[in-house]
Amino acid sequence: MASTYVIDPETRHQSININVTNLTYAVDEVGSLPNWKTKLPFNKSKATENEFKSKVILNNVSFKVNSGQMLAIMGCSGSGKTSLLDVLACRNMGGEVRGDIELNGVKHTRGMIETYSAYVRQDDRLLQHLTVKETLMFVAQLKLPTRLSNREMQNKVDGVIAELGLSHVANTRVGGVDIRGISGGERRRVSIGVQLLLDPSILFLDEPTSGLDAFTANHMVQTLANLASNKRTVLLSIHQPRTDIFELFDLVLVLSAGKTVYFGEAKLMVDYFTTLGFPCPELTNPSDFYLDLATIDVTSVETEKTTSEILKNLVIAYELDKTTKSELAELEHSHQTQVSTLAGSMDNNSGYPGFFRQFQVLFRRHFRNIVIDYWFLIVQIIQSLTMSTILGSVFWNLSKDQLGMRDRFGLFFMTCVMYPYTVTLDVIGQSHRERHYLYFELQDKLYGHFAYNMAKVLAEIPFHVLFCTIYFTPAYFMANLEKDAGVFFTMYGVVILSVYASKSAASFAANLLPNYQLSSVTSNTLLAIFALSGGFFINLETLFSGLKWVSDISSIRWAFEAISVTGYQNLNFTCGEIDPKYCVRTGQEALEMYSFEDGKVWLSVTALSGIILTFQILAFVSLRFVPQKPYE
Amino acid sequence: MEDSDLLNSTSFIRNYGVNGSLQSVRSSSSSSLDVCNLGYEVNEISGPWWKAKCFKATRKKVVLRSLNMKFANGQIAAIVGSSGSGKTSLLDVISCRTDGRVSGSVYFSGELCTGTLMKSAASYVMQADRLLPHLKVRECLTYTAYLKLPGNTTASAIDKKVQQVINDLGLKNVADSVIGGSVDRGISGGERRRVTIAIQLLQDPDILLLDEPTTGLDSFTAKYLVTSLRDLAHSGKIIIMTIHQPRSDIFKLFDQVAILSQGELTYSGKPEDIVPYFTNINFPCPRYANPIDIYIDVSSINRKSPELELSSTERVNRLVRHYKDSFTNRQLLENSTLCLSQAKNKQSGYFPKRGPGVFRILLTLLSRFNINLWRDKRTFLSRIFLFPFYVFFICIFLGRLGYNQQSIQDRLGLLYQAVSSPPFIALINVMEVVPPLRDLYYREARDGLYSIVYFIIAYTLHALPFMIVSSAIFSSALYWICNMYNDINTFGMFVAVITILYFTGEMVSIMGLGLCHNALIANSLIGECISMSCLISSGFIRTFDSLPYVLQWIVRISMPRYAAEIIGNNEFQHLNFTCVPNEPCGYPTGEAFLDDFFPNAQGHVARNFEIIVGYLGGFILLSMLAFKVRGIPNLQ
Repeated sequence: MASTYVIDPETRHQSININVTNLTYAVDEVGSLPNWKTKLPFNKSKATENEFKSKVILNNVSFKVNSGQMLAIMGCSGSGKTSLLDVLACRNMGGEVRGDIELNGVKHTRGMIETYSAYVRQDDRLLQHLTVKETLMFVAQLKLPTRLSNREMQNKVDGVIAELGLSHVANTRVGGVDIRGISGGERRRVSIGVQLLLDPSILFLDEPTSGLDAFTANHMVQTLANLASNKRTVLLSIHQPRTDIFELFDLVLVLSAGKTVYFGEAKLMVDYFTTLGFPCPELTNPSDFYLDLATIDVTSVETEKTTSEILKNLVIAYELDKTTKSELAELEHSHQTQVSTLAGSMDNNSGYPGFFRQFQVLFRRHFRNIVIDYWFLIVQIIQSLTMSTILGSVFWNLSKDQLGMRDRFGLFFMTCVMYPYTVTLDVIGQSHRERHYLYFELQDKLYGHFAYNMAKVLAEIPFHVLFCTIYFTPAYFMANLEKDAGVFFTMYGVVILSVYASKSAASFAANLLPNYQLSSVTSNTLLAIFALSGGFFINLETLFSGLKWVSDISSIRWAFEAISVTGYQNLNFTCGEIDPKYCVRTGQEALEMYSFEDGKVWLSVTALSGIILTFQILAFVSLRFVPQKPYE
Repeated sequence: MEDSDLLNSTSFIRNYGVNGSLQSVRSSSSSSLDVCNLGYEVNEISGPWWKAKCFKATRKKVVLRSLNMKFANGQIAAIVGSSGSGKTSLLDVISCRTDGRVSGSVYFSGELCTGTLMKSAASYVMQADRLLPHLKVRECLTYTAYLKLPGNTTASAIDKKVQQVINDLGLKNVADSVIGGSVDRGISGGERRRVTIAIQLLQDPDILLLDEPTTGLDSFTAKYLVTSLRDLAHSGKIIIMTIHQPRSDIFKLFDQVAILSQGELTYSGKPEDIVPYFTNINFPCPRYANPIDIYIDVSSINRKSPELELSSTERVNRLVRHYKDSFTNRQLLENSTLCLSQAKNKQSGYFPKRGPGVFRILLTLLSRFNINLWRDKRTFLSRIFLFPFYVFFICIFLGRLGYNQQSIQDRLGLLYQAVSSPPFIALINVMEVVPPLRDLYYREARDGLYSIVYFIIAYTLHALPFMIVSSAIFSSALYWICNMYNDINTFGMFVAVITILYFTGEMVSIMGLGLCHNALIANSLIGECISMSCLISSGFIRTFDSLPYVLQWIVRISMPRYAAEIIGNNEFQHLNFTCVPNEPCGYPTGEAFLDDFFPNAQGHVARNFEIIVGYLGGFILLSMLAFKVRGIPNLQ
């Protein structure tokens, strides 16, 4: 067995005992209407009349866990074990909670839970490209008090790494679905490490062993047992543990349909059920056997009847057993000493990272995350270069005759459409990938929305400029446009802005809508409208007058106009054998053809900036107010 | 008591039911599956794929090592072991679906197992359920029965057979419920798994192989499933399944249990003998523990640390040696030499069965596609109206075309949209509709039911009415609302071109789906190809003559050019444009415009039509070829 590591010689966390009495949790089940429909006035009246049912998820659950103990909450799916953890950790979404939850004899509050506990989710939400140590360092910088020096944080991180037995992979990438990294069990331990950095007194874990093989699961629970023995309170939910894991638990709570079937020491569970007349058959895993016993078998009507009868009796038997025990417990009434200290150390919130610190750390993390994923970078560079070469070779060496005059419009429009179109899918894909951790980190209050948004926006700008340069420059010279720095840089600037405008629109769609599919369809439709009203396919003058305003908010139109004005204004075209009556001689005449004769570059740039700003604000507002929950 | 009832009822149906599908001549009691000295090696690719392709940097990995086993008729056997132990590979080898090197042999009732023999005698149930979500359970089984059973089977015989497997697997209550998928709820996961198994039972196989059938099911459902499988086996089949950590109550249901570790056996025999066997060699089972958990652990290698790995490897080797010396194994070896000598003079009792005819397959596939789409109202409607809906966007900005100089630009934009949007919308529709059908095709093709030619033809027949209707609505609306050239002939040609473009778009997208197993990659790849070819070659953005020489050749072989030439010519040829004095006037007539943009287009209309129809036919063939070349992915 692995030896016990200690983070600090003086462990800062407090010992906390949890005492839960008669906890009942019910959620409202309003017919089958989705949430938003119930908010409509005509549905509300109907709902309150007959469909307002509340479903009891936890029914009168009582238990007590002391510091240094590990409690396993067992039950089949739907038994309420995850809900119980959620209620204890104050993460339940709505619903009505009754009964008492006491920490060291003090009624628990959200603030206390946030200060003293940590919650490890069932699935790992880690950044794939960071190493184990980097992952923990970033969390440390975001969460630990600012008075700690970098050195001290390093020490803390090293301590956690040692405590979880991760030293051998400290500098290995975390990895994930797409890239190889550390193993599943190690990843699970990193998730725990993230929570341990805050040195919590209480650790909640939802199904910490799911998806791990037998040896790894065993090792995992042993690690948790070590953590518990280091004056922590560990509560975990688990679905049918194997015998070797079961033996590591101190306390066990068996739930079925929200009711307690057994609570007590793990090693006494078989004896308890045996006295009730259900001995565990030989060569059978007791937790398998007793969980089945406590589950209603719905495969047929008869089995449903008999199993629910058994379950009812088990619940009654436990109620009887509990009352006799609690009378005994009443006599040795525990002394509650730490009441004042717990409440007192609560408001010690000063010295924690503020906006600038968060911004700075997130900026570094985001920047690093982009740079480290060099394959993605290379793909994007190749992508912009390919688009540029295609544009350049289609419009190779534009002439200054009448055909060349027309082709220029094609080049300018395609420049304003091609990359802005392609980039939306990248942006949306990226945003929805980031949701994998963003939602949960926001829920853990690791940082604020604004700090995250600013860090993301600013960290991406250098790359944006790089990609735009690669996109614009080769095409410009391949098409043999004017060798004039003024013209080049004006167009370059406009391209950067126009690509950024469609990026902003895309991130608005990405933040607003729940999945990749919807976001990309929406932003594609928006850009299609922008392109149609851009002044190329349809002349701005013949555009249906009721929809002229669409072209006024179209980023593609403003970019196309600005580039056309810049690209044409100094040019003269040859006529060849064409009847001079039908010949376009100057750039100004060409612009008249496309109704751009009044175009001004400064106006376009202002309009583009306005569009960018509007979409950025909309994107931030939706990030702030639309839950960024990842949907798969 | 309940078991024997079920047993009687199944044997009753077996005797009086439609058992003509397989000509099992031999007495079923003597048949058994013998695995003689079986080894299996695969090439493991180390490093990136290009290294493997260029430098043959592959490593041989032994998956199975000289296995000797016997599976008796009327018994259900479980193969257990930790992941990577070779469980699934053993099933693959038995069913002759391998890509590695197999040594040794498998005999079924003394006959050497070959691909054809196994195809008719054995069925393989894969881990994933690939079912069309909108069919009802009975429909799903009936359609598959039409594809599986011989062509002369009557409809009533098929109905009876379907009813029989529904009864066998306890699906009676849900027989007329929709299966459902990830979005629309249908029958439960356990029921879906049973439908997958029922499909494989339709052809009444003698051997049923199942890969992890209980994964993802709750304990009661899993137990119920294994119980019904055991009843099936007892009615006279060989059933072999892999299972990952069976619970003790399920474990007791099997007739035979084999523990695999690193491709070798550490135990094979009755489940009740396992504890005495291991206790005998100093691995007792604690009183309150699941023996199979304990013994799988004992038989696996713990890679937590080098020392543990070393000691556990040694332990596993000892167990393997011990099993080889055991009485059961030695007895088996004697038998297997027996089966070897038998095999040589045994005449094959199996003939490759005659499957259903061309029309039956096509009709079955077609009506299955139709029903599945018809039930899915949302997709059904989007299939018809997504394309016409796009007209709305174009018309709303464009209004009616005029005849001034600016209208030339408007016409170019309009025609560009008319050429580029049909393939795009086709791509969107295909990506929504085809991937589940493709998954189904992969599974059924693996079972050898029909080839890609049938699939593509049936899909084309299924989709053709939708393509024609939605293209007709799209083009009529666009043509008349936007005031294009008023002539019924050119309108007819416009409809035809749009339909052909749309059709080709669907075929190209299907080709993409055949080439890339990942639908998302296929989507972006084909999307890029369509937009690039429209950009370069439609001729509306850049004139053909001003393109660089190399690109001209690319344009010559790309389809949008010819479609664009037809509709461009039809629109412009008779038009005159007004000129405003003192303003530049590019083209006074449509003729002048065509001279610049599509020279000689007028004489090429018939030729162009031949070319685009040729492209369409070519892409239909290419899409079949793509599926053929790329093959069927591993379905695990």
